[in-house]
Amino acid sequence: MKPLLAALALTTAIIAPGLALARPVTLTANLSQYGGQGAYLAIYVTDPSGAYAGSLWMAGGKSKYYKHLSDWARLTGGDVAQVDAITGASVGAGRSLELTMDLADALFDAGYTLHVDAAVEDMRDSPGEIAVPLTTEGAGQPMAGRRYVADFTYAF
Amino acid sequence: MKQVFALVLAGSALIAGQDALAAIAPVAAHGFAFDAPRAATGLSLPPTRVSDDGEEGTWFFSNGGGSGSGEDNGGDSDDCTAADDPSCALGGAGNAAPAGTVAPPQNGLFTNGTAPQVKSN
Repeated sequence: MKPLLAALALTTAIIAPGLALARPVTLTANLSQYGGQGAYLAIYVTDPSGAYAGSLWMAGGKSKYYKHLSDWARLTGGDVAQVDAITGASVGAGRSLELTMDLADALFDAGYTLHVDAAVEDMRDSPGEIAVPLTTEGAGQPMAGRRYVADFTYAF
Repeated sequence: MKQVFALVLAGSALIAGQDALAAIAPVAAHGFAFDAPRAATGLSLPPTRVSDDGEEGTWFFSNGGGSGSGEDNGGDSDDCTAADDPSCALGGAGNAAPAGTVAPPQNGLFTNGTAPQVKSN
């Protein structure tokens, strides 16, 4: 009996931290009817000091346009490797982008900020379209964007 | 008396000349050209800003619309697919690898090995 109990305790000890370290988060961006082509969106996180922590998603596949996502480009030096495997299509006017991902628990209530930069062909760039602190309180509350994003929400 | 008559004649000629020039000048030379029709409609429109020199830039080359944009897009897609642009093939031309083709970056934000799921409509 004791070996069984020990094995159970051991597996629990191994699995439990993994479960506690991440949580599924859904990011939703609803774009406004801005009357232009598909928007490029860079979704990334900065740490409490404002330094770049990492990218979560890049909507738009051609890296030559990433310089128009100017805050993201400045923070990353335009490093395309930052968005390898987390890159998809641009998002059209009036459409929505919904992302579901397992995010580290340590990002929440710890001073991290989620940013969205936006750019649209032949229209003005919009760095800092969204800047929202990652908190448990803020989850599920839509936030209006500056120019192209009608509202943005992260939810657990 | 002749001097007075000459002055009146010269003044009239100058005024008539200005009116004639105004009639043939470009519309942009006199900003109130559209005020009369607007007043006739009874509408009071606010001034419209036609130029804005903010610090933000714009795209400076055209390359068509994105796959996520509307049906009225013309030209090439601004999304990268190897079918319409060989330079967009995986690892080509310095573009990022599309989602699902390789493992997501281990940047400490994601649980390692789990790729984001995306839906767009």
